[in-house]
Amino acid sequence: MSPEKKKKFLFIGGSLLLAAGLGTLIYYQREGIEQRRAEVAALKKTIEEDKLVLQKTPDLVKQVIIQRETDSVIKQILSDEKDVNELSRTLNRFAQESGFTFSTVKDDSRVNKKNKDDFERVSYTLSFDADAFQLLTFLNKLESHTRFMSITTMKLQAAGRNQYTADSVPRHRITLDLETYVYAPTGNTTEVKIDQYEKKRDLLISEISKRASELRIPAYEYRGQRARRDPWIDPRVPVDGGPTMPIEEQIALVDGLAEKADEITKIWEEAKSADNLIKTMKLRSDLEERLALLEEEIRRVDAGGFLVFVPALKRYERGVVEVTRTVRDQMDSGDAADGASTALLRETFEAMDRHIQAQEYELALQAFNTVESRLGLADQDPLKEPLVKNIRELRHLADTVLAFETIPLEIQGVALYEGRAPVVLINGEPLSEGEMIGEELLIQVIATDQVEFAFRGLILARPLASEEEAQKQQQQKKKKARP
Amino acid sequence: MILINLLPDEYRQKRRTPVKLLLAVAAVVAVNGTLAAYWAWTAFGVSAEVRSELTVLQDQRASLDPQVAYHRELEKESKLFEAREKTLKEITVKRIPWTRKLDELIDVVNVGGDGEKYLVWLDDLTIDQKESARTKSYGTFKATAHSGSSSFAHIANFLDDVERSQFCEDFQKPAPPEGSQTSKDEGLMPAEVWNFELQLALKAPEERLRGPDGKLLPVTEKPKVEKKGGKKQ
Repeated sequence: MSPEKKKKFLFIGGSLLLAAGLGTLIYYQREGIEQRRAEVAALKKTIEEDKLVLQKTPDLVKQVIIQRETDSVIKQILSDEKDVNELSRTLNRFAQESGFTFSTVKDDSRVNKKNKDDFERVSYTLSFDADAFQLLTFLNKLESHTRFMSITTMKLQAAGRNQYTADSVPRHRITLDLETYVYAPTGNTTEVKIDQYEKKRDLLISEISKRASELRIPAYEYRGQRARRDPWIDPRVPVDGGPTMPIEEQIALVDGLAEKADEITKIWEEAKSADNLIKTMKLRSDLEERLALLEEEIRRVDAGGFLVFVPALKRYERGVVEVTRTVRDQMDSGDAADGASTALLRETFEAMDRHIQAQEYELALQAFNTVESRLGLADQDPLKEPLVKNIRELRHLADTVLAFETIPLEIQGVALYEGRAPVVLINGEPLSEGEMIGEELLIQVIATDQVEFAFRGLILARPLASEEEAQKQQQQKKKKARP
Repeated sequence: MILINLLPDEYRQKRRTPVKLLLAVAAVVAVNGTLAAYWAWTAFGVSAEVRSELTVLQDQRASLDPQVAYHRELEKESKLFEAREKTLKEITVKRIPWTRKLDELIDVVNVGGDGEKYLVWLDDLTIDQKESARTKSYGTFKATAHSGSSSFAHIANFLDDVERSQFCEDFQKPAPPEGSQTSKDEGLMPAEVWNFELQLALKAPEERLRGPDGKLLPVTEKPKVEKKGGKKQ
């Protein structure tokens, strides 16, 4: 090969190599640029995303502050381990406040596996005897407690009719499974530091309280028995039970009386602990008035025999009669030295007067009997003596009327002749005004519709029986005459 | 063959670089020059600009990173609280307020008065809130009941009242009345008694949701899913 050609080849080769080198450089350069551009694009995208994320940071900070502040509410609802120990004491207190005690308390927590991430289930099986309203009071206390408690199963066996005659109110056998949760966090809950936390929290206070109230479980407002009967008590009454007062009315009647008895007990306790004489006198005066009125109502209920629904009757005896008697006995024992108080005498007089106005002569005598033993001492007190005299007069009146009612008087007819003394046919015997029947009964006035008698210083009238009544009396006589 | 030029110098054709070679050299120089220029432009122009942009963005990113990390930490904390609230909701939504339920039942029983409409009493009560996903059962309320009347219609009256009452809001409708009459007890009033079962099934938890006022919330229907290539509605 000629040197010329050689040179040419060298030139061409060198040129190609140079071009290839430059091409390679350019290739890598472009690749590098593309890579960096991709990095730039990715970074831009990331930065945009981060900026978007950071736009939400103020809201997130607010949310976390609200969550931190309301977490205490969640912890109250689903408490920690320490409070589980307190739970048994709480349950016991609830039972006492509801009016019963547990017969068994069994911890069933071992049976249950861990439920959720941060909460562990705790179960108790409780057994006790209570009536329906005691049960409801207890359940209401459980369900409205700050700690979340739930009844998962319940069994109630009603008290049998044979238990209705026992001293206390019939109680049912109840077994229930109670479930609650213990807060046992598993996650790492390190708090992130938030600048000016207190200030931000204070600005969010209304939102925090709103959220807290949303988290709290609404409680049901239980309003008590409200004169309703226990559905687990057989409401049937014995056939010879007599009165027809509805059960709801019987319960309402006892509720009203029990409330009055409670008030009397409170006033009596207040009167006993009063620090000055004037207050004591005022309270005792009020007490005498209330006690006399309640005793009057008790006499009416007893005389009427209205209460036949056993739970109502038991409650009446325990919560009304016994309470009233206890207060009366305590007051009487205090009054024993100087006889009945003026207030007692005045209230007794008014109660007797009301009974007589209502023609309840036996109840008037019962009212008298409550103070009779203390009238002797009161009689010697010139201030009390007129009251005692009035009470004795009312007692005489009631006594006389009752004695008069027991005298068998069958007024069969009246004969009125012009210019002649009227004649009445009593027990088959014609009698005129001024004549005596027995040793104490004097015929005072004979009228067309009634006959007036003088009896133990009182004028008492007996109306003439109407034709229908006379026929009824004759029919009854015929029935009695049959063998 | 060998050619010998015998012409004097002034007549001889002048020696010059061949055009082809010249063109080839020019092309090579142009190509390589262009390549070199392009390389220089990318290296000192475009690449530097991109590098510079990348550096700026990296600085920007570096300044945002702590803030983003702070945000993520807050999110993590918030999610823990949210999980706790969700658990609380899951636990509480299943609870039946039995005080309310029993109180409402007592109301219904007492509506019957002393037997004008019905005189019903119960012997027992069994409440069980065990759920069974297989049988779609959410719990039961069972009681053995008595109606103090010779008329079977009184049981229907009672069950009608139960169905219409607030008590039944959390339960499915009661079964039609069934019962049997026991022997007469002449010593008690009423003497004739019908026995029957009061048996109610609890509704699903989502149907029992109540608002803060204690009233039932309207049930929201779950989205239906079509099995074969269907879309979520």
